[in-house]
Amino acid sequence: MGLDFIARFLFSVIRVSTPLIFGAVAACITRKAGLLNLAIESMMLSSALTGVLVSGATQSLTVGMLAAFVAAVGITMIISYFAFVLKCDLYLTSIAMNTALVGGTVFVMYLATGQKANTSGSVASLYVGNLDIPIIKDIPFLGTILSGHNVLTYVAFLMIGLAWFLLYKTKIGLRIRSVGESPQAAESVGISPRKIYFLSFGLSGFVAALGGMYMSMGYLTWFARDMIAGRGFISMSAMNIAAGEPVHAALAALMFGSADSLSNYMQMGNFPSELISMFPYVCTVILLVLMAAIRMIKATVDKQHA
Amino acid sequence: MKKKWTGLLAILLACALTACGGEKEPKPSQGAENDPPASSQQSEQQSEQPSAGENHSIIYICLNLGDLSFNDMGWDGCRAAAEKYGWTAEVLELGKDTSTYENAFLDSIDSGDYDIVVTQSNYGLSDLCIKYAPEYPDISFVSYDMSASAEISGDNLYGIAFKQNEGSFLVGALAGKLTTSNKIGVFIFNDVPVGNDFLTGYIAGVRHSNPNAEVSVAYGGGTADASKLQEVSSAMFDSGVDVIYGVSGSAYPGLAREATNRGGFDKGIYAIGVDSDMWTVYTASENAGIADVIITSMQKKVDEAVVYAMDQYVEGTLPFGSVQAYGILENGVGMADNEHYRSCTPEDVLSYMEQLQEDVISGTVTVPSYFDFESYDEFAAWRDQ
Repeated sequence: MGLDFIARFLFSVIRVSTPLIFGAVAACITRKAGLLNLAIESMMLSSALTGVLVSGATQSLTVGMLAAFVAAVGITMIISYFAFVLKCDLYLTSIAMNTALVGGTVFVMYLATGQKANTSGSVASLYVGNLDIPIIKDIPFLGTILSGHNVLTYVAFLMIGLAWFLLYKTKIGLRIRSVGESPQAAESVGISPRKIYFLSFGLSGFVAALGGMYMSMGYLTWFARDMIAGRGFISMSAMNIAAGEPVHAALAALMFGSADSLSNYMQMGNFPSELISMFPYVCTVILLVLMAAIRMIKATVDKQHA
Repeated sequence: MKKKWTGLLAILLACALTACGGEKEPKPSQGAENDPPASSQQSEQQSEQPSAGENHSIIYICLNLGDLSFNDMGWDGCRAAAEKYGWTAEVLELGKDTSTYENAFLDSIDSGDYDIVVTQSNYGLSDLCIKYAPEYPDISFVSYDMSASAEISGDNLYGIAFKQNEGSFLVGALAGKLTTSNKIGVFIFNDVPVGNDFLTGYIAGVRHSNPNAEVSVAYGGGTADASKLQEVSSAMFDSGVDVIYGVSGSAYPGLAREATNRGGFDKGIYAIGVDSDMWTVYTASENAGIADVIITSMQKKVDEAVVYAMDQYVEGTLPFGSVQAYGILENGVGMADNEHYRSCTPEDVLSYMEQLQEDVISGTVTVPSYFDFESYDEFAAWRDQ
């Protein structure tokens, strides 16, 4: 108990939050282009499966990861083509893709391995290792929390900065944001919203792919059916709380991660298990309501001052 | 032109969506080269008069295959019985959506292709057997892993109960001997009677061999996956627990992975498997890297029990209308006695365990069961004392 216990709890928070951070950043990129990305779930699922199968077949981590990127970005391209070229409803298409891939990934897994529950016994897939950070790992409290995570966890934190930089410091980011503000205005100065939509979805798929890889090639080392289990949607609400700002969204993701982690520790107390499994999701709702309330109060205060 | 494509896509999507429902896959059993060439047409003809011919067809209904454990073992038993008697066996996997179970169950028995239904009991499947057995007198129902206290009737329904408390008692006693921190963990797949029967035996076993040890209990809520079990076991190990019994076959790799990451036996950390002899099964699979933390397993010999029931069925001695309990004595449950367990367990603990097993069989030591408690509250009070 004590300090050491808290440090290990925070370590577990970061570990649990990593896929949520990837998902939240991915959601932010499309949000800034004015689109809600409902398909993060399916992007993660497809990259998680592809990474395991391809790295298992080729015994090359690089090839496996590349294939996972291709799979997730491929999914986004299909969705984008439906939504922006064929003008299907984006949300319905995304939901259909999510539902289809829950079964679809199991189907592909069965074709490839003959297993339907998970690949753990049948594919010798590769995975990304853990990283001890040289100096930080020797600092007593901080070292326990920050060092020894999966490499992809550090990539997740890097990705927050990268996404922020992309959105706010580059020409492409400016275009994405301007299309998000007003597609007509952007079009009038020669920016094609459709191109930007494709681009933002592609980038979003790239980031989400890392989240999927973390799930099946880092956090766990196999693919299991339905293994994303709503993490895509939790990250979407993290993005929503932060109104699409990558840094804030990552903080919200960490908050959800803490709730999830806490529920794991609560397992050991004598709480009813049904209550515990509800806990992270109830937290989501409470947070959303809180944020909305704060925003409303802020708006009224601003009005009074104006 | 564009409209044509949109229409085509809509159809494709619709197909994809409908494909998500419970799918039935007729599988003339894997490892086809060993199979007798029984065609499915033949079995259809036979099913017209189920009791007349020697040929029967089994439908095995489970959640999903591939857990290297509970679900797979039932299927192994069905296939073994089918092969033994030259019957056909097919499997129906229901998937995760419990709302579809009843329809899928009915569709399969309405098809008229099968005259023996084998199911596990969880997720309401035994209730479906109890409900529909009277309506389908020509079909024989066998449901395994029922509660020993379940009351069934009729002349076409047979229940197999396992005394998971007896096997769990043994592994609990082993955990009590192995621990150095006097903190022991257990993960139960769900807060249901069979799950709590595992728990009752386990806690009693720990208290029998090591009264100073305390047991942390975590329930999975029924939907636990490997990542959840990995997190829960991580939290337990953090709190000082050094032996964890993971009662969830499909989520088990999460526990084995976490225990391996933390150094396994070298660091005094042990995992106990469930249902199958997990060390043996994992060692033979691509999971070999995480097999060595599994000191032993509480085996539920589902496959042998199913074959045994089919043997009795053929002989005409299967006592329909009753639930039979398979314990250590009946070889229905037991502790996996493999070379890994033999080589990694201290000599004095080995002899202690052998003595204890004999005591349980002879009745010198009585193992409490969840089904002996008057109420859940009484059980909860005993559990948390």
